[in-house]
Amino acid sequence: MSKKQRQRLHIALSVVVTIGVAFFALLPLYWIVLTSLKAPGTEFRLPIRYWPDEISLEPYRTILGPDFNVQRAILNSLIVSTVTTIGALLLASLAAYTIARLRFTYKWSSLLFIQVASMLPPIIVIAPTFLIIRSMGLLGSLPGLIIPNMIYNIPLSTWLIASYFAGLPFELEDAAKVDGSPPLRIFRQIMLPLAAPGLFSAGVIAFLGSWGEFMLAFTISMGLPEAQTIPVAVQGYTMAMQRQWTWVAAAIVLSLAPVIVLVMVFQKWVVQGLTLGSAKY
Amino acid sequence: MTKVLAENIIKRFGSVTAINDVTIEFKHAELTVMVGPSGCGKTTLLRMVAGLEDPTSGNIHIGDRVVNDVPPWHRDVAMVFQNYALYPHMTVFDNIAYPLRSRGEPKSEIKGRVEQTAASLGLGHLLDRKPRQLSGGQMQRVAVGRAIVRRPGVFLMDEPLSNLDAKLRVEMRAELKRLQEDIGVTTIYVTHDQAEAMTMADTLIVMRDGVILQAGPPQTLYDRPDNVFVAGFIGSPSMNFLPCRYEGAGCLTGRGFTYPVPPPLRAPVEAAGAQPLVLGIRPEDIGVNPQPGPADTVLARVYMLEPLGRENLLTLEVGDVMIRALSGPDIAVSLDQTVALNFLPERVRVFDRTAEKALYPDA
Repeated sequence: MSKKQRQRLHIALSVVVTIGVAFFALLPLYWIVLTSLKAPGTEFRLPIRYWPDEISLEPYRTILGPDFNVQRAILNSLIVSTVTTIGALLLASLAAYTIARLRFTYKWSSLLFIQVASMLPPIIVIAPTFLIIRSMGLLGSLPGLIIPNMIYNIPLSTWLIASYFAGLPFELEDAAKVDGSPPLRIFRQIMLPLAAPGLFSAGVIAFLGSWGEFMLAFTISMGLPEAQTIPVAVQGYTMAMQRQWTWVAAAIVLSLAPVIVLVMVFQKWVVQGLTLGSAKY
Repeated sequence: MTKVLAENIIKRFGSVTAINDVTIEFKHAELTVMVGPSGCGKTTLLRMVAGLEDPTSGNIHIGDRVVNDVPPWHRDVAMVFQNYALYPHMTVFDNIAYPLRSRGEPKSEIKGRVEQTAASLGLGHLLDRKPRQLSGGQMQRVAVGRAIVRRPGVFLMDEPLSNLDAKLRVEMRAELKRLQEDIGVTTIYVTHDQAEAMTMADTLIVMRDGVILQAGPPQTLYDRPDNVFVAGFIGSPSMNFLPCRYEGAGCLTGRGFTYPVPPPLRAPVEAAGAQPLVLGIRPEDIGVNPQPGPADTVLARVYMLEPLGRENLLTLEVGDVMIRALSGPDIAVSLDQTVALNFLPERVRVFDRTAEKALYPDA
């Protein structure tokens, strides 16, 4: 086999594998979209159809109506995820800078120590988290969700951003110091922009993590609609709607839309941030 | 007047002493070059002047004040780094403007100053580029521009030319020297390249193992080195050293040669007595005579002849020591031929081999 043929075979194989994986990943998504477009009551009709006979927007109308008010849950999720992401990035980037740049003993072991917290299964920390949030009087409120979400996301974000900072040359900071900038300004004007790909990937992971997070949100929201995020709301609908799956499917599709937009916008930077690790200079 | 004074500076990193009690003044508006092998402490001293390292003990003065406790961003210095350290996410304009912005200069002022600086360095057409779109020479100019735009009191350069290719390095060193003369800023320049050091320095400082071996005008270090290291380090090709002893009768005797002590050196050499000595002679101060006569006392075997066009570089074996000599381009010698060597008596230097110190009549 010539080199060119081998290259072609390689490409062909990659394409086949990619399509295969995409098929398995997208099929459930397709099924949900399909179901959400069926008229209520027709979703279990046999034989199975892989294409809608007629498109019905009825489920969307219902789910967006005053009885369910899915927009409220989506707005809650947006608030929780956005604030969580910004807060986690802010704290994690400061911690990461300290660990990657300042001289102190046990600095890499302190990074490891931070990681240990994130290795505990969520079920273990949920009860103490609940008690702490209750004692803060934040049960059933969005801040009560945001604070623990932020803390859960700090370890991985710190790790990602620290490895990014560590790859930046020391001379840049030296140059900025001599050029007249004190450390905090150097952090803001030189280090943070250069670590942007790392920040993006950490940010998207934090956003997706808190967007899809269920157990904590379910526990803290106490069933109050004003504190329910979209996964909790959807779970509630499956109970409340007497198994009206078209409505549930419509809610799920609506909850996915912001996330898909986010990933499409930032995917270039996210991939870069996860694969580079250290910055090209 | 911005002179810089390093006073009794000691710097330790753990158990390693990088700088061992150095006191040196860098004169106002002069270009002072610190040269020495890697690890000699020259960059560490430079970084202490910048405020990027703290001395373990001793004081750094800039102008009239002690700056030990002044952070780099409040010292009136600018620095060019070996790898340029340009901010990769900023354009050339923003890189050069950064020191002005950091100090809160007004916007209108910044634009004019940056454009003027860029134009003087031939960067006018590159202001919108990012560093990665520049060649090595252009990056170097941007780094210089960023340093001079603010008109600092002291200008620090840490091997700024070492990442350039040989041709560009020679061009840039002339340009930097001219620039320094024009703006008249006190400049401390670190290099390990002795040619760069010789050509650029007003004052040359040779360092080794954390101490200053000799400081002075380059020609003085060249003509009158204080010790074996400076003698060997300054000048290319470097000075030849022939181990010898003074065995009376006014002659230095080494393996395969005897040489009459030049009259001015007689007193110190006699005072040294039977100490092991070293005779030092530069390649250009050796006359090569292809027809040795009976009166010649230094004979050598031709090991190699390298024509350089303008002159020939000869490698010669005296006893068991290889030395080098420069001769005219028309010398007729063949390999392994025996030739006679005439050392210019006034250019001969004698060193104490143990203390590595030069012997001078007035010392």
